[in-house]
Amino acid sequence: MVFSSLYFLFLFLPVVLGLYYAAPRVLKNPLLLIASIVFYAWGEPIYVILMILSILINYVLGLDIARHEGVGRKVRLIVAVALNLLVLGFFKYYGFVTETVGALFGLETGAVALPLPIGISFYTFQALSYIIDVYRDKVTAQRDLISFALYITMFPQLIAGPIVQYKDIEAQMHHRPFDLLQVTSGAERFILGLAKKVLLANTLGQLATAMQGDAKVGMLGAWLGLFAYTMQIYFDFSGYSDMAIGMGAMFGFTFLENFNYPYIADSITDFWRRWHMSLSGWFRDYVYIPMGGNRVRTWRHILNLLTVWALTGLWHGASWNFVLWGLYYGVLLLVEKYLLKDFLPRLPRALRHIYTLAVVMVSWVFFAFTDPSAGLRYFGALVGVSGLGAEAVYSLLNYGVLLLIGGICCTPLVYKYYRRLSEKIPYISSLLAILALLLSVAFLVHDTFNPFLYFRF
Amino acid sequence: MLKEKLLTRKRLIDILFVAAWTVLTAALVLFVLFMLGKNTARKVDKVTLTAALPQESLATLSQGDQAKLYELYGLEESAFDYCILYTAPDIMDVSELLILRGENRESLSAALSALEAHHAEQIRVFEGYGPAQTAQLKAGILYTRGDYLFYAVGPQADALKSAFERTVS
Repeated sequence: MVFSSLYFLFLFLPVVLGLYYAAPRVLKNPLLLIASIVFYAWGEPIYVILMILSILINYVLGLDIARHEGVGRKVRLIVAVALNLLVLGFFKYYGFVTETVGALFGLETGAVALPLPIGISFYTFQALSYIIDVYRDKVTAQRDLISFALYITMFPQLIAGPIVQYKDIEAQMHHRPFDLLQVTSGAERFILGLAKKVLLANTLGQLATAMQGDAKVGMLGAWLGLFAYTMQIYFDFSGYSDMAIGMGAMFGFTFLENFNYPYIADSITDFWRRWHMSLSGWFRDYVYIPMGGNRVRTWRHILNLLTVWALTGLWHGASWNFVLWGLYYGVLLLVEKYLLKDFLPRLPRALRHIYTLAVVMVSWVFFAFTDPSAGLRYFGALVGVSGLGAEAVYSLLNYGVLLLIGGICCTPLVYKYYRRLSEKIPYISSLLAILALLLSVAFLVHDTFNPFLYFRF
Repeated sequence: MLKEKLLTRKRLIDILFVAAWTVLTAALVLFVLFMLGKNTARKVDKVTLTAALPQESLATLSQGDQAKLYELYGLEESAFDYCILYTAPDIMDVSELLILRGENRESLSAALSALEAHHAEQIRVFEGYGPAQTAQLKAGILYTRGDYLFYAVGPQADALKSAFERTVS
């Protein structure tokens, strides 16, 4: 089920919220768990079995790890990590690996492809963080199966994150006091996310798709399409995160932030402190630091960073373009760390922003095209191989205002003035939220289907 | 004596835990094998697959192109290996056939969601005034198998499905 669907907005969410608030405290977690399973089963009935098996295995192994010390503990950790990675690897990467092996050795592998279970990358990473933290004694193994299952399946963030680490919500699993202010601010945040997705991402996506799908796109059109895609992916994904965080708040949970205005970053290092923070935090805590992080020799640090970024790319999809996308960032981060460390901070601030934005925009070409020939063709268009393509001026005129609004909304300016206004005029934030909701619903009624881009991960 | 009893109890719990996660792992393996058996499909090229479909069913429909694929479902043909699309020439006829072979599973998963939404929307549109069309839509077939997505609506849906199944099995 998609958050930005009328079924979800006017049936599923109100019913679940109503039952949740009416339920006595002891029934709140079981109710939320049932709702989460129904939510998942709506689109993926068969894969609910996979998710339940994953929950049971991690629950049992978590308890078993906590009962042991020494080698026995380590063996159980290895079993748990291997099982999680094997399941993820099989469903997400089996086809990719067999196809790659087949292509390398000229073999007819008879690749078997299974549809990707939605959200598997997110819930597997959550399970892994729990298992590793139990092993490290950072959290206590959860004895209550319902609470553990709820941690894995919680529908606000099940499908596309943010990746919630168990240690961040351990206490909230059992104690979530009802706070009306938190509920209303959660609802406002949810609507903000909905508006980002429906009003901005979907509309900008039309321009991006038109340009990306045009084999004869010129330089102007290619840049216009790339600019639109740059904003689409931000509003789409950060919109989803806003909705997840907002819904979490409505159910009494506090999820950590996932975005912090990434397009105002003044370096790539800064960008990755602001973009999909829950994923970069996960890789930092569970891959990069255990590998030695930066407290190793230079060659080893380079290897660590490139490994982490190749994995980050691969996490996004079983395709070489994602690996390239990850390595592109790995190399850029190394360049900033070892070559531009003294030079970059001395550049005028505006130049640093332009550099970062240009580099990030180029990275989205790797990201958007799974077909290498289409990606190369688009890169060619960006540098003028297909000519200027003056006809794109028409699209610029059509979408110019939206692009400008999108550009402004990528900065903290709008939120800053919105907050200031809310302080001056009581209830204005609620009125604006209602307006944004009505507008979004009006768009949804007439819209074609627009799933979130990050659903495929 | 007490120490021995405690040790035996601990060993018993150890065995129970190992048995529990072994059984669960076995269940997981069985599930994976079941999914593999259920979802495998042969790779067949577009020409072979189109030729294998009942031509008398296709003759009543119009062949769709990339633009039609985008117009109807918001899908880009470039995201797939190929697409076979046929739609009814009459706007009151809800017959449709779409077969996509997915370049990757993410595209297929996204396409399945798009088709579900399209199908639901078609039912919503016809529900008020087209009982025959609504019945045909409700009997529509939509599923994925291996690299393929199959969607068919109309009196010929079952025949098309059988031909598709025979070809990719």
